[in-house]
Amino acid sequence: MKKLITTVASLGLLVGVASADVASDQKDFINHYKSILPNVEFADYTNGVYAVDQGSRDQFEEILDGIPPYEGAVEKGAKEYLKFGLNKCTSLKDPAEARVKHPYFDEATQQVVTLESAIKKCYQQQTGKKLGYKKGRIARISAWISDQAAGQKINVKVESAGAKAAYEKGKTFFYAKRGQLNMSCADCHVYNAGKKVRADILSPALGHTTHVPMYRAKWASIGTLHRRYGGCMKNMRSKPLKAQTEALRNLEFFHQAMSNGLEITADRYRK
Amino acid sequence: MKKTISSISVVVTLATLFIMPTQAGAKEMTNEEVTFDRKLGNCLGCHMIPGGNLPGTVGPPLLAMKARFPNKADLREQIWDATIKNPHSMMPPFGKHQSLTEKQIDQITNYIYSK
Ligand code: HEC
Ligand code: HEC
Repeated sequence: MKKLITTVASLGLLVGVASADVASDQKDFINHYKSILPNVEFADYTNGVYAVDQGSRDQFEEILDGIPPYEGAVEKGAKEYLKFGLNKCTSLKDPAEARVKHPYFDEATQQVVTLESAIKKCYQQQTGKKLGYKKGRIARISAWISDQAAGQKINVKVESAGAKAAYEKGKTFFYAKRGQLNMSCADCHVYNAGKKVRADILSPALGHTTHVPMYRAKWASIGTLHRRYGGCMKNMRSKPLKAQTEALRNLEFFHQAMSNGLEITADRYRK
Repeated sequence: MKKTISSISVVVTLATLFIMPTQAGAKEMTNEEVTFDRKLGNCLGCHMIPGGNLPGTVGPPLLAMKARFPNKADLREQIWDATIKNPHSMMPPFGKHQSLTEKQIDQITNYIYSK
Protein backbone atom coordinates (compact mmCIF):
# COMPACT_ATOMS: atom_id res chain seq x y z
CA MET A 1 0.00 0.00 0.00
CA LYS A 2 2.75 2.36 0.93
CA LYS A 3 4.40 1.57 -2.37
CA LEU A 4 1.21 2.36 -4.25
CA ILE A 5 0.94 5.68 -2.53
CA THR A 6 4.49 6.68 -3.44
CA THR A 7 3.92 5.64 -7.05
CA VAL A 8 0.78 7.70 -7.23
CA ALA A 9 2.51 10.58 -5.57
CA SER A 10 5.48 10.46 -7.89
CA LEU A 11 3.18 10.13 -10.89
CA GLY A 12 1.35 13.20 -9.72
CA LEU A 13 4.68 14.92 -9.35
CA LEU A 14 5.75 13.94 -12.85
CA VAL A 15 2.55 15.21 -14.42
CA GLY A 16 2.81 18.31 -12.30
CA VAL A 17 6.35 18.95 -13.49
CA ALA A 18 5.50 18.30 -17.14
CA SER A 19 2.77 20.91 -17.31
CA ALA A 20 4.20 23.30 -14.76
CA ASP A 21 7.23 23.93 -16.93
CA VAL A 22 5.22 25.75 -19.58
CA ALA A 23 3.58 27.88 -16.94
CA SER A 24 6.87 28.73 -15.27
CA ASP A 25 8.62 29.38 -18.60
CA GLN A 26 5.79 31.69 -19.52
CA LYS A 27 5.98 33.44 -16.19
CA ASP A 28 9.68 34.14 -16.76
CA PHE A 29 8.83 35.36 -20.23
CA ILE A 30 6.15 37.72 -19.01
CA ASN A 31 8.29 39.05 -16.18
CA HIS A 32 11.10 39.77 -18.59
CA TYR A 33 8.81 41.80 -20.86
CA LYS A 34 7.37 43.60 -17.86
CA SER A 35 10.84 44.76 -16.99
CA ILE A 36 11.82 45.95 -20.47
CA LEU A 37 8.40 47.19 -21.62
CA PRO A 38 6.71 48.26 -18.38
CA ASN A 39 3.91 50.15 -20.11
CA VAL A 40 2.56 47.28 -22.20
CA GLU A 41 -0.49 45.47 -20.78
CA PHE A 42 -0.51 41.69 -21.08
CA ALA A 43 -3.59 41.62 -23.36
CA ASP A 44 -1.97 44.11 -25.74
CA TYR A 45 0.86 41.73 -26.71
CA THR A 46 -1.62 40.36 -29.23
CA ASN A 47 -0.78 43.44 -31.30
CA GLY A 48 2.95 42.79 -31.78
CA VAL A 49 5.00 45.85 -32.66
CA TYR A 50 1.87 48.00 -32.36
CA ALA A 51 1.78 47.38 -28.62
CA VAL A 52 5.23 48.92 -28.38
CA ASP A 53 5.25 51.91 -30.73
CA GLN A 54 2.48 54.49 -30.87
CA GLY A 55 3.41 55.86 -34.30
CA SER A 56 3.18 52.42 -35.87
CA ARG A 57 -0.03 51.78 -33.96
CA ASP A 58 -1.72 54.83 -35.48
CA GLN A 59 -0.99 53.49 -38.97
CA PHE A 60 -2.23 50.05 -37.96
CA GLU A 61 -5.52 51.43 -36.66
CA GLU A 62 -6.02 53.48 -39.78
CA ILE A 63 -5.64 50.35 -41.88
CA LEU A 64 -8.05 48.38 -39.70
CA ASP A 65 -10.59 51.23 -39.88
CA GLY A 66 -10.64 51.02 -43.65
CA ILE A 67 -10.97 47.81 -45.64
CA PRO A 68 -7.97 45.76 -44.48
CA PRO A 69 -5.97 44.47 -47.45
CA TYR A 70 -6.50 40.84 -46.44
CA GLU A 71 -10.29 40.95 -46.25
CA GLY A 72 -10.90 39.61 -49.75
CA ALA A 73 -8.42 36.78 -49.26
CA VAL A 74 -10.05 35.66 -46.01
CA GLU A 75 -13.49 35.66 -47.67
CA LYS A 76 -12.04 33.56 -50.45
CA GLY A 77 -10.65 31.21 -47.81
CA ALA A 78 -14.18 30.74 -46.44
CA LYS A 79 -15.42 29.64 -49.86
CA GLU A 80 -12.44 27.38 -50.39
CA TYR A 81 -13.00 25.71 -47.03
CA LEU A 82 -16.45 24.55 -48.20
CA LYS A 83 -15.62 24.05 -51.85
CA PHE A 84 -12.85 21.56 -51.08
CA GLY A 85 -14.87 19.79 -48.41
CA LEU A 86 -12.66 20.66 -45.46
CA ASN A 87 -15.78 20.71 -43.28
CA LYS A 88 -15.94 16.95 -43.81
CA CYS A 89 -12.76 16.20 -41.85
CA THR A 90 -13.20 15.66 -38.12
CA SER A 91 -10.14 17.80 -37.42
CA LEU A 92 -11.57 20.90 -39.13
CA LYS A 93 -15.33 20.38 -38.98
CA ASP A 94 -15.66 22.98 -36.22
CA PRO A 95 -13.27 25.72 -37.37
CA ALA A 96 -13.15 27.71 -34.11
CA GLU A 97 -12.37 24.55 -32.20
CA ALA A 98 -9.73 23.61 -34.76
CA ARG A 99 -7.85 26.88 -34.27
CA VAL A 100 -7.88 26.55 -30.49
CA LYS A 101 -6.91 22.89 -30.52
CA HIS A 102 -3.82 23.29 -32.73
CA PRO A 103 -0.91 22.93 -32.34
CA TYR A 104 -1.20 19.80 -30.24
CA PHE A 105 0.96 16.77 -29.60
CA ASP A 106 -0.38 13.62 -31.22
CA GLU A 107 0.43 10.60 -29.07
CA ALA A 108 -0.10 8.10 -31.89
CA THR A 109 2.54 9.61 -34.17
CA GLN A 110 4.57 11.32 -31.41
CA GLN A 111 4.51 14.48 -33.52
CA VAL A 112 3.24 18.02 -33.15
CA VAL A 113 0.23 18.62 -35.40
CA THR A 114 -0.18 22.23 -36.51
CA LEU A 115 -3.29 23.78 -38.03
CA GLU A 116 -1.63 23.98 -41.44
CA SER A 117 -0.53 20.36 -41.34
CA ALA A 118 -4.13 19.37 -40.53
CA ILE A 119 -5.44 21.53 -43.38
CA LYS A 120 -3.02 20.02 -45.85
CA LYS A 121 -3.86 16.48 -44.79
CA CYS A 122 -7.60 17.07 -45.04
CA TYR A 123 -7.26 18.84 -48.39
CA GLN A 124 -5.34 15.88 -49.74
CA GLN A 125 -7.96 13.42 -48.48
CA GLN A 126 -10.80 15.41 -50.02
CA THR A 127 -9.29 16.41 -53.34
CA GLY A 128 -6.37 14.05 -53.89
CA LYS A 129 -4.23 17.12 -54.48
CA LYS A 130 -1.26 18.69 -52.75
CA LEU A 131 -1.17 22.07 -51.07
CA GLY A 132 1.76 24.40 -50.36
CA TYR A 133 2.52 25.42 -46.78
CA LYS A 134 3.47 29.07 -46.95
CA LYS A 135 1.07 31.20 -48.95
CA GLY A 136 -1.94 31.23 -51.22
CA ARG A 137 -4.74 28.78 -50.60
CA ILE A 138 -3.45 27.29 -47.34
CA ALA A 139 -2.90 30.73 -45.83
CA ARG A 140 -6.36 31.94 -46.90
CA ILE A 141 -8.10 28.88 -45.49
CA SER A 142 -6.08 28.94 -42.28
CA ALA A 143 -6.83 32.66 -41.82
CA TRP A 144 -10.56 32.09 -42.24
CA ILE A 145 -10.52 29.16 -39.81
CA SER A 146 -8.61 31.29 -37.30
CA ASP A 147 -11.05 34.18 -37.70
CA GLN A 148 -13.79 31.87 -36.39
CA ALA A 149 -11.91 31.65 -33.08
CA ALA A 150 -11.30 35.40 -32.73
CA GLY A 151 -11.73 36.45 -29.11
CA GLN A 152 -10.93 32.99 -27.76
CA LYS A 153 -7.61 32.38 -26.07
CA ILE A 154 -4.54 30.47 -27.11
CA ASN A 155 -4.33 27.39 -24.94
CA VAL A 156 -1.54 25.01 -25.93
CA LYS A 157 -1.34 21.95 -23.72
CA VAL A 158 1.97 20.25 -23.04
CA GLU A 159 1.16 17.27 -20.88
CA SER A 160 2.72 13.92 -21.80
CA ALA A 161 6.40 13.08 -21.74
CA GLY A 162 6.43 13.08 -25.55
CA ALA A 163 4.80 16.52 -25.69
CA LYS A 164 7.26 17.80 -23.15
CA ALA A 165 10.18 16.57 -25.24
CA ALA A 166 8.83 18.25 -28.38
CA TYR A 167 8.27 21.46 -26.45
CA GLU A 168 11.83 21.36 -25.10
CA LYS A 169 13.22 20.90 -28.62
CA GLY A 170 11.24 23.91 -29.79
CA LYS A 171 12.46 25.96 -26.87
CA THR A 172 16.09 24.99 -27.54
CA PHE A 173 15.68 25.98 -31.18
CA PHE A 174 14.28 29.35 -30.16
CA TYR A 175 17.23 30.19 -27.92
CA ALA A 176 20.01 28.69 -30.06
CA LYS A 177 22.42 30.88 -31.99
CA ARG A 178 22.50 30.05 -35.67
CA GLY A 179 23.65 31.23 -39.07
CA GLN A 180 26.46 33.42 -40.23
CA LEU A 181 25.23 36.24 -37.98
CA ASN A 182 25.24 33.97 -34.92
CA MET A 183 21.85 35.09 -33.67
CA SER A 184 18.93 33.42 -31.95
CA CYS A 185 15.22 34.17 -32.23
CA ALA A 186 15.45 35.30 -28.62
CA ASP A 187 18.23 37.81 -29.40
CA CYS A 188 15.77 39.82 -31.46
CA HIS A 189 12.38 38.98 -30.00
CA VAL A 190 13.18 38.54 -26.29
CA TYR A 191 16.30 40.43 -25.21
CA ASN A 192 15.98 43.29 -27.67
CA ALA A 193 12.20 43.50 -28.12
CA GLY A 194 11.14 47.11 -28.53
CA LYS A 195 14.56 48.15 -29.84
CA LYS A 196 15.33 48.93 -33.44
CA VAL A 197 17.31 47.02 -36.02
CA ARG A 198 17.74 49.76 -38.60
CA ALA A 199 14.26 51.20 -38.95
CA ASP A 200 12.47 48.00 -37.86
CA ILE A 201 11.13 47.79 -34.32
CA LEU A 202 11.53 44.30 -32.90
CA SER A 203 8.29 42.73 -31.67
CA PRO A 204 8.10 40.72 -28.45
CA ALA A 205 7.73 36.97 -29.00
CA LEU A 206 4.93 37.03 -26.44
CA GLY A 207 1.83 37.31 -28.65
CA HIS A 208 3.63 36.38 -31.86
CA THR A 209 1.15 33.69 -32.79
CA THR A 210 -2.19 35.37 -32.07
CA HIS A 211 -2.81 36.79 -35.55
CA VAL A 212 -1.41 34.08 -37.79
CA PRO A 213 -1.52 33.66 -40.74
CA MET A 214 -0.58 37.32 -41.10
CA TYR A 215 -0.88 39.75 -43.96
CA ARG A 216 2.36 41.60 -44.58
CA ALA A 217 2.67 44.77 -46.61
CA LYS A 218 6.11 43.56 -47.69
CA TRP A 219 4.63 40.34 -49.08
CA ALA A 220 1.46 42.07 -50.31
CA SER A 221 -0.32 38.84 -49.34
CA ILE A 222 -1.12 36.58 -46.41
CA GLY A 223 1.48 34.07 -45.28
CA THR A 224 1.62 31.38 -42.64
CA LEU A 225 3.69 31.48 -39.46
CA HIS A 226 6.20 29.14 -41.09
CA ARG A 227 6.62 31.51 -44.02
CA ARG A 228 7.65 34.14 -41.49
CA TYR A 229 10.02 31.65 -39.80
CA GLY A 230 11.72 31.24 -43.17
CA GLY A 231 12.11 35.01 -43.54
CA CYS A 232 13.64 35.41 -40.10
CA MET A 233 16.04 32.51 -40.67
CA LYS A 234 17.19 34.35 -43.79
CA ASN A 235 17.64 37.52 -41.71
CA MET A 236 20.04 35.55 -39.55
CA ARG A 237 21.81 34.32 -42.71
CA SER A 238 20.93 30.81 -41.70
CA LYS A 239 19.67 28.30 -44.25
CA PRO A 240 15.87 28.39 -43.88
CA LEU A 241 14.34 25.07 -42.88
CA LYS A 242 11.36 23.93 -44.89
CA ALA A 243 7.93 24.97 -43.61
CA GLN A 244 6.33 22.31 -41.38
CA THR A 245 9.45 20.22 -40.89
CA GLU A 246 9.56 18.60 -37.47
CA ALA A 247 11.96 21.21 -36.08
CA LEU A 248 9.67 24.07 -37.06
CA ARG A 249 6.55 22.31 -35.79
CA ASN A 250 8.31 21.89 -32.44
CA LEU A 251 9.32 25.56 -32.56
CA GLU A 252 5.69 26.50 -33.18
CA PHE A 253 4.59 24.31 -30.24
CA PHE A 254 6.86 26.24 -27.87
CA HIS A 255 6.21 29.60 -29.53
CA GLN A 256 2.40 29.29 -29.37
CA ALA A 257 2.51 27.97 -25.79
CA MET A 258 4.33 31.14 -24.75
CA SER A 259 1.22 33.07 -25.87
CA ASN A 260 -1.20 30.99 -23.80
CA GLY A 261 -3.97 33.16 -22.40
CA LEU A 262 -3.74 35.80 -25.12
CA GLU A 263 -6.65 36.42 -27.45
CA ILE A 264 -6.68 35.07 -30.97
CA THR A 265 -7.34 38.02 -33.25
CA ALA A 266 -8.60 38.60 -36.79
CA ASP A 267 -6.50 41.79 -37.05
CA ARG A 268 -3.78 40.15 -39.09
CA TYR A 269 -2.04 43.17 -40.60
CA ARG A 270 1.73 43.69 -40.21
CA LYS A 271 4.24 45.84 -42.02
CA MET B 1 41.90 20.03 -74.03
CA LYS B 2 38.64 21.77 -74.70
CA LYS B 3 37.20 19.94 -71.74
CA THR B 4 39.99 21.17 -69.47
CA ILE B 5 39.44 24.72 -70.56
CA SER B 6 35.74 24.62 -69.88
CA SER B 7 36.22 23.02 -66.48
CA ILE B 8 38.81 25.63 -65.62
CA SER B 9 36.36 28.34 -66.53
CA VAL B 10 33.71 26.64 -64.41
CA VAL B 11 36.08 26.61 -61.47
CA VAL B 12 36.96 30.25 -62.03
CA THR B 13 33.28 31.19 -62.26
CA LEU B 14 32.47 29.28 -59.10
CA ALA B 15 35.40 30.77 -57.26
CA THR B 16 34.33 34.24 -58.33
CA LEU B 17 30.80 33.55 -57.15
CA PHE B 18 32.00 32.55 -53.73
CA ILE B 19 34.35 35.46 -53.37
CA MET B 20 31.79 37.91 -54.71
CA PRO B 21 29.64 38.49 -51.64
CA THR B 22 32.44 39.73 -49.43
CA GLN B 23 34.90 41.09 -51.94
CA ALA B 24 32.66 42.58 -54.58
CA GLY B 25 33.91 46.00 -55.41
CA ALA B 26 35.90 45.97 -52.18
CA LYS B 27 38.82 47.57 -53.95
CA GLU B 28 36.94 50.72 -54.72
CA MET B 29 34.92 50.87 -51.51
CA THR B 30 35.82 53.48 -48.96
CA ASN B 31 36.09 52.64 -45.26
CA GLU B 32 32.77 54.32 -44.68
CA GLU B 33 31.09 52.35 -47.44
CA VAL B 34 32.31 49.03 -46.06
CA THR B 35 31.08 50.02 -42.59
CA PHE B 36 27.63 51.15 -43.74
CA ASP B 37 26.88 48.70 -46.58
CA ARG B 38 23.97 46.47 -45.59
CA LYS B 39 25.58 43.37 -47.06
CA LEU B 40 28.97 44.07 -45.44
CA GLY B 41 29.39 45.71 -42.01
CA ASN B 42 25.81 46.94 -41.72
CA CYS B 43 26.95 48.40 -38.41
CA LEU B 44 24.12 50.94 -38.58
CA GLY B 45 21.74 48.02 -38.25
CA CYS B 46 22.46 48.14 -34.52
CA HIS B 47 24.62 51.21 -33.77
CA MET B 48 24.29 54.92 -34.06
CA ILE B 49 27.39 56.18 -35.89
CA PRO B 50 27.91 59.90 -36.61
CA GLY B 51 27.23 60.48 -40.30
CA GLY B 52 24.98 57.44 -40.79
CA ASN B 53 21.20 57.42 -41.29
CA LEU B 54 18.46 55.30 -39.70
CA PRO B 55 20.56 53.64 -37.03
CA GLY B 56 19.28 50.72 -34.97
CA THR B 57 19.32 50.83 -31.17
CA VAL B 58 20.40 47.30 -30.26
CA GLY B 59 24.03 48.23 -29.59
CA PRO B 60 25.61 51.31 -27.94
CA PRO B 61 26.35 54.42 -30.05
CA LEU B 62 29.83 54.24 -31.57
CA LEU B 63 31.32 57.48 -30.32
CA ALA B 64 34.60 58.56 -28.76
CA MET B 65 36.17 55.26 -29.72
CA LYS B 66 39.74 56.35 -28.95
CA ALA B 67 38.71 56.97 -25.36
CA ARG B 68 36.71 53.74 -25.16
CA PHE B 69 39.48 51.69 -26.79
CA PRO B 70 42.91 53.14 -25.99
CA ASN B 71 44.29 50.02 -27.61
CA LYS B 72 43.10 49.87 -31.23
CA ALA B 73 43.69 46.12 -31.39
CA ASP B 74 40.95 45.66 -28.79
CA LEU B 75 38.50 47.47 -31.05
CA ARG B 76 39.48 45.25 -33.95
CA GLU B 77 38.99 42.20 -31.77
CA GLN B 78 35.49 43.36 -30.79
CA ILE B 79 34.60 43.57 -34.48
CA TRP B 80 36.36 40.31 -35.38
CA ASP B 81 34.53 38.34 -32.68
CA ALA B 82 32.22 40.09 -30.22
CA THR B 83 31.63 36.81 -28.40
CA ILE B 84 35.13 36.94 -26.88
CA LYS B 85 33.99 39.69 -24.52
CA ASN B 86 30.37 38.65 -24.28
CA PRO B 87 29.61 35.01 -25.19
CA HIS B 88 25.91 35.88 -25.55
CA SER B 89 26.52 38.94 -27.69
CA MET B 90 24.02 39.53 -30.45
CA MET B 91 26.72 41.26 -32.46
CA PRO B 92 27.77 38.99 -35.34
CA PRO B 93 31.34 37.60 -35.15
CA PHE B 94 32.34 39.13 -38.49
CA GLY B 95 35.89 37.78 -38.63
CA LYS B 96 35.38 34.44 -36.94
CA HIS B 97 32.46 33.60 -39.25
CA GLN B 98 34.28 35.08 -42.24
CA SER B 99 31.42 37.39 -43.08
CA LEU B 100 34.05 40.02 -43.81
CA THR B 101 37.61 39.77 -45.08
CA GLU B 102 40.53 40.73 -42.83
CA LYS B 103 41.03 43.78 -45.02
CA GLN B 104 37.43 44.87 -44.62
CA ILE B 105 37.74 44.48 -40.88
CA ASP B 106 40.81 46.72 -40.95
CA GLN B 107 38.88 49.28 -42.98
CA ILE B 108 35.97 49.27 -40.53
CA THR B 109 38.31 49.44 -37.52
CA ASN B 110 39.99 52.50 -39.02
CA TYR B 111 36.68 54.15 -39.78
CA ILE B 112 35.14 53.52 -36.35
CA TYR B 113 38.37 54.54 -34.62
CA SER B 114 38.12 57.95 -36.26
CA LYS B 115 34.72 58.53 -34.59
C1 HEC C 1 18.01 39.99 -36.81
C2 HEC C 1 16.83 40.08 -35.99
C3 HEC C 1 15.83 38.93 -36.01
C4 HEC C 1 16.04 37.62 -35.68
C5 HEC C 1 17.32 36.95 -35.24
C6 HEC C 1 14.74 36.97 -35.80
N1 HEC C 1 13.80 37.87 -36.20
FE1 HEC C 1 11.79 37.55 -36.31
N2 HEC C 1 11.52 39.48 -36.95
C7 HEC C 1 12.51 40.42 -37.09
C8 HEC C 1 11.95 41.66 -37.60
C9 HEC C 1 12.72 42.95 -37.88
C10 HEC C 1 10.56 41.42 -37.76
C11 HEC C 1 9.50 42.41 -38.27
C12 HEC C 1 9.10 43.33 -37.17
C13 HEC C 1 8.46 42.58 -36.05
O1 HEC C 1 7.26 42.29 -36.10
O2 HEC C 1 9.20 42.18 -35.11
C14 HEC C 1 10.32 40.05 -37.31
C15 HEC C 1 9.07 39.44 -37.25
C16 HEC C 1 8.82 38.17 -36.76
C17 HEC C 1 7.51 37.60 -36.61
C18 HEC C 1 6.18 38.27 -36.95
C19 HEC C 1 5.71 39.07 -35.79
C20 HEC C 1 4.34 39.61 -36.01
O3 HEC C 1 3.82 40.27 -35.08
O4 HEC C 1 3.74 39.38 -37.05
C21 HEC C 1 7.68 36.34 -36.10
C22 HEC C 1 6.58 35.35 -35.77
C23 HEC C 1 9.12 36.13 -35.95
N3 HEC C 1 9.78 37.28 -36.35
C24 HEC C 1 9.69 34.98 -35.46
C25 HEC C 1 11.07 34.75 -35.40
C26 HEC C 1 11.67 33.48 -35.07
C27 HEC C 1 10.91 32.23 -34.69
C28 HEC C 1 13.02 33.64 -35.15
C29 HEC C 1 14.12 32.62 -35.03
C30 HEC C 1 14.05 31.48 -35.93
C31 HEC C 1 13.26 35.04 -35.47
N4 HEC C 1 12.06 35.67 -35.63
C32 HEC C 1 14.51 35.62 -35.57
C33 HEC C 1 13.85 40.26 -36.78
C34 HEC C 1 14.43 39.07 -36.36
C1 HEC D 1 22.95 42.75 -34.63
C2 HEC D 1 23.47 43.81 -33.83
C3 HEC D 1 24.85 44.36 -34.06
C4 HEC D 1 25.52 44.60 -35.24
C5 HEC D 1 25.07 44.36 -36.66
C6 HEC D 1 26.79 45.19 -34.85
N1 HEC D 1 26.87 45.30 -33.50
FE1 HEC D 1 28.40 46.10 -32.42
N2 HEC D 1 27.45 45.67 -30.69
C7 HEC D 1 26.19 45.12 -30.59
C8 HEC D 1 25.86 44.97 -29.17
C9 HEC D 1 24.55 44.38 -28.64
C10 HEC D 1 26.95 45.45 -28.44
C11 HEC D 1 27.08 45.52 -26.90
C12 HEC D 1 28.13 44.60 -26.37
C13 HEC D 1 27.84 43.14 -26.68
O1 HEC D 1 26.77 42.64 -26.32
O2 HEC D 1 28.69 42.52 -27.30
C14 HEC D 1 27.94 45.87 -29.43
C15 HEC D 1 29.16 46.42 -29.09
C16 HEC D 1 30.05 46.97 -30.01
C17 HEC D 1 31.28 47.66 -29.66
C18 HEC D 1 31.80 47.88 -28.26
C19 HEC D 1 31.28 49.20 -27.79
C20 HEC D 1 31.80 49.58 -26.44
O3 HEC D 1 31.79 50.77 -26.19
O4 HEC D 1 32.17 48.69 -25.68
C21 HEC D 1 31.85 48.07 -30.82
C22 HEC D 1 33.15 48.82 -30.98
C23 HEC D 1 31.00 47.61 -31.90
N3 HEC D 1 29.92 46.97 -31.38
C24 HEC D 1 31.27 47.84 -33.24
C25 HEC D 1 30.49 47.32 -34.28
C26 HEC D 1 30.85 47.45 -35.68
C27 HEC D 1 32.05 48.20 -36.18
C28 HEC D 1 29.88 46.80 -36.38
C29 HEC D 1 29.81 46.56 -37.86
C30 HEC D 1 30.93 45.95 -38.49
C31 HEC D 1 28.92 46.29 -35.43
N4 HEC D 1 29.32 46.62 -34.16
C32 HEC D 1 27.77 45.59 -35.77
C33 HEC D 1 25.38 44.76 -31.63
C34 HEC D 1 25.71 44.81 -32.98
